[in-house]
Amino acid sequence: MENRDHRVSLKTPWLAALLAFLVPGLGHIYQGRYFKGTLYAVCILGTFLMGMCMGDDKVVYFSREPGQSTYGYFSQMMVGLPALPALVQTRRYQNPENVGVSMLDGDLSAPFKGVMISRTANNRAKKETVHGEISLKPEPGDFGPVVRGKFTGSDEHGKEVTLQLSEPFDLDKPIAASDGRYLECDIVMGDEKRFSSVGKLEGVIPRAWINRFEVPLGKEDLEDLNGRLGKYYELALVYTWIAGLLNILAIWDAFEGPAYGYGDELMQTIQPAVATTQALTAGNISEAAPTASVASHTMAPAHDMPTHGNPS
Amino acid sequence: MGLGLQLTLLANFNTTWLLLPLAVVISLVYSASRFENTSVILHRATRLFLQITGLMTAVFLVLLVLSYNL
Repeated sequence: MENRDHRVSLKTPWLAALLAFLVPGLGHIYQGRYFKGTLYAVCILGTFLMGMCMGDDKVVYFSREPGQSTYGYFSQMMVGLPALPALVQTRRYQNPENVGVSMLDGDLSAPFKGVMISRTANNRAKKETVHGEISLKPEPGDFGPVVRGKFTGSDEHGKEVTLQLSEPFDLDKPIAASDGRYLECDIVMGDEKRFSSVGKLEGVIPRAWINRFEVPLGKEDLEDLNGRLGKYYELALVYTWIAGLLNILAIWDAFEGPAYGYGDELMQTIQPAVATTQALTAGNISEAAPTASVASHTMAPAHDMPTHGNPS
Repeated sequence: MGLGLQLTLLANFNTTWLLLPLAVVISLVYSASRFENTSVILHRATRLFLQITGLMTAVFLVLLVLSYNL
């Protein structure tokens, strides 16, 4: 720290390091080192975000499940705020209350995409893709509350479809990595008192971004992602890991200053010597001979040799 | 841009090219953490980038020769 170049103002180094950890480049901007701050922000955040995009936003998560531990997260975590939500999301995901439900607390209305499975006259299952809007709500039944509602939308041929829905009803856990939340219920026919099941509706409703961002992947999600992305999944991981590792260099730079010094120390040493040499070539050789000798030994490119701090 | 289109674009793209931006970023950040002077950072980063790509090219050529006629 004593050898620090006086031209590099680190202000409060620990605060700068903390800011650099939270947002790459922010610590340097706080120190007034705008070029470096911008460079770190663009390079590190750019690499991290590129990895996230390449991995369909599912490569950053923290899991300690046996066989699914993500030690790489400790590297991703060094990017700071963009990766830290994974810690909170892991806690939310592992919360015992995060389970699938077969009863609703209130009304549910959401876009739905899935398959309608109905029985034909010869008792064979017929599957048709449907998409539209699903609305369900708990209603009082003979033996307690039951889930009832309807689906309105269209099938794969564009034909309008309206379905009456009832129990059994299953809805996937609210917090998980997949984009869609699995929903399953029976298609029924009949009046308000008496229903009979004529098929089944299976599909997904959208999961809120906050409930899937940086949430640990389940085994099926991981297999699905590997199947869809292939080698890009691995590359996405590498991008996010490298971004985190690079930010360690940036944090240290914010705390301690540049590792080899300002960068022009050798030039400062050489330039007077070169000037003297030039003066010598003009005539006065005898007085400056030792300096010329030093200069000839230090004429290596200024950037080749690391120096710690400013020699002056 | 939908994921499908993204994946189609990626599928028609050799992943080796994705190492180049990574090499640029590593060169810039590493050099920036060593020095403060902007021109020195850029000069060192350029040199490091050329070293990395040169090494990668050499490895690529060795592998290409070794895999000849396989």
